[in-house]
Amino acid sequence: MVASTSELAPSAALFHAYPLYRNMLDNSIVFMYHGPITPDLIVDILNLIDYRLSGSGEDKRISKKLFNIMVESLSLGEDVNRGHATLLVRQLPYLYTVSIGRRINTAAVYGLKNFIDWVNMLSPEDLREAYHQLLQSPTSSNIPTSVADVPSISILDLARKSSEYLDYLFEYLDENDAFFSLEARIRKNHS
Amino acid sequence: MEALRIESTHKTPRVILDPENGIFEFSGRSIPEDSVGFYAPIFEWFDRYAKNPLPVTHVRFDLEYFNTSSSKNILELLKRLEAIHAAGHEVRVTWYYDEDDEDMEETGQDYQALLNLPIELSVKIQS
Amino acid sequence: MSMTYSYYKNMQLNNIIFVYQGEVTADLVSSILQMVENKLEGEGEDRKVKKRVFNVMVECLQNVYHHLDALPPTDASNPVRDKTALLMIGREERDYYIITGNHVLNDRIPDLKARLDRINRATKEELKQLYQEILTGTGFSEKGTAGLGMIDIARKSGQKLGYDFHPVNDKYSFFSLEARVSRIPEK
Repeated sequence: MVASTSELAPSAALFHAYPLYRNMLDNSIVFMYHGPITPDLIVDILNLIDYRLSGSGEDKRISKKLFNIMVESLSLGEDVNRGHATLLVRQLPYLYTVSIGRRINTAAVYGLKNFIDWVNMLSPEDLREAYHQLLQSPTSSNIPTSVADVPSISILDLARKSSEYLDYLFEYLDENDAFFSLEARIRKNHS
Repeated sequence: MEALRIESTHKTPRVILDPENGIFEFSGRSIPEDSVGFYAPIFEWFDRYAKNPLPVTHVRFDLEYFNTSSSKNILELLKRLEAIHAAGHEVRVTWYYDEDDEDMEETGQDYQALLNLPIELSVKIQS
Repeated sequence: MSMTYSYYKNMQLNNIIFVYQGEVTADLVSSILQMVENKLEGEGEDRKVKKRVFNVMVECLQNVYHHLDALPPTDASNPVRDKTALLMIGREERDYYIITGNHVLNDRIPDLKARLDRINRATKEELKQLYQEILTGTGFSEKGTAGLGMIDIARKSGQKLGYDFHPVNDKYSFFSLEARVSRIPEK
């Protein structure tokens, strides 16, 4: 069978449609957003996810959890100066993942990586304690209020809400910018 | 004292602060881009209210979801209530959460731990 | 974990400003539209251009909705269980492009292709005529006003429609349709 295309020379983007669609399906992506994250869009994204989850008959407890994680992830990606962020939600058999990726300054990579590593090592009690400290008196706490321009309380919040450690990736783009992505996971049978 | 009423939006909660009718309520979502700007008039209102509060102030929080920048502001708000309470006036807070929403329940527990204020956690009756 | 990055690269490379993959239900369509509207709002584009992009997109989504509706409800040979589709919006230097993609039964391809080619060959005036013929019930259409959708897209877009049928199996193909809207406002 031969693919039939229009008589005109179509744009390159047209041929990306199917591979992209297939790829998203194969990777169990239920939602992807790419672009600047503005407050209005946060509301739209949440509405859309809400429809999709209620349509797929997801347990309300899990969808609440997913929602709360997304609210915070989006505030992590909110940085108008650095343009586009990418948000991915995947629905796997036992797991949901929410990842947010955006550009950060290369100079911030080291500090941010160390901070997430530190957060990942905290016990649930220590995590709670650290969160309380930042919530109550951000300035007198020995935890920095922000790492790079990422508010550290958001990372602590995500760590508390997710069922597992936070996964991350830094990819150097050029001497000024790196791509930073952070993934939170929610186990479906989480208790 | 004059009541403060703010209608809800997609991003901000409905606020009713009405001493005459004894209603103090926050309900809906709180994910404003400028949470300081949103909460500032509410703080001001409570600062004035604190000078001459009702014998009993019962504040209800019935929030769907909120971001961490709002949770800081809510803590600030609760601190003001804590001060009224410490000055010898009765203050009660009811923190509603959906049975399914563990995170909202946990946030209520956070506030209980951080404040010297009677905060009651209450499961919302499903409509 | 590198997935987020590879999508990010893909999006940047193809100038994609919005992608939606998933079910297309009435509720979802309205939230997708709302989202794209807000998004275009933030792009700082000419008001007329924005409106045209939006109108073309509404029509494209409606078109997808019709196609999905024509698929058999549950079919083991369908590569996807649900009636899912793709919506992609990109912004290039000269044009916005709106691409929708959905599965179609292979035996519908000749008809679809014939229609699209006929639309693409038609002049502006002929498109108008064709549109009116269908409205009055003399032109091509097998399912209500379904034939109108693509003509309407072509008229609103003001450019030729791009399309591609990607074979999936002996029963289904993935049909991608591209409409372009010029960013240079008309005088």
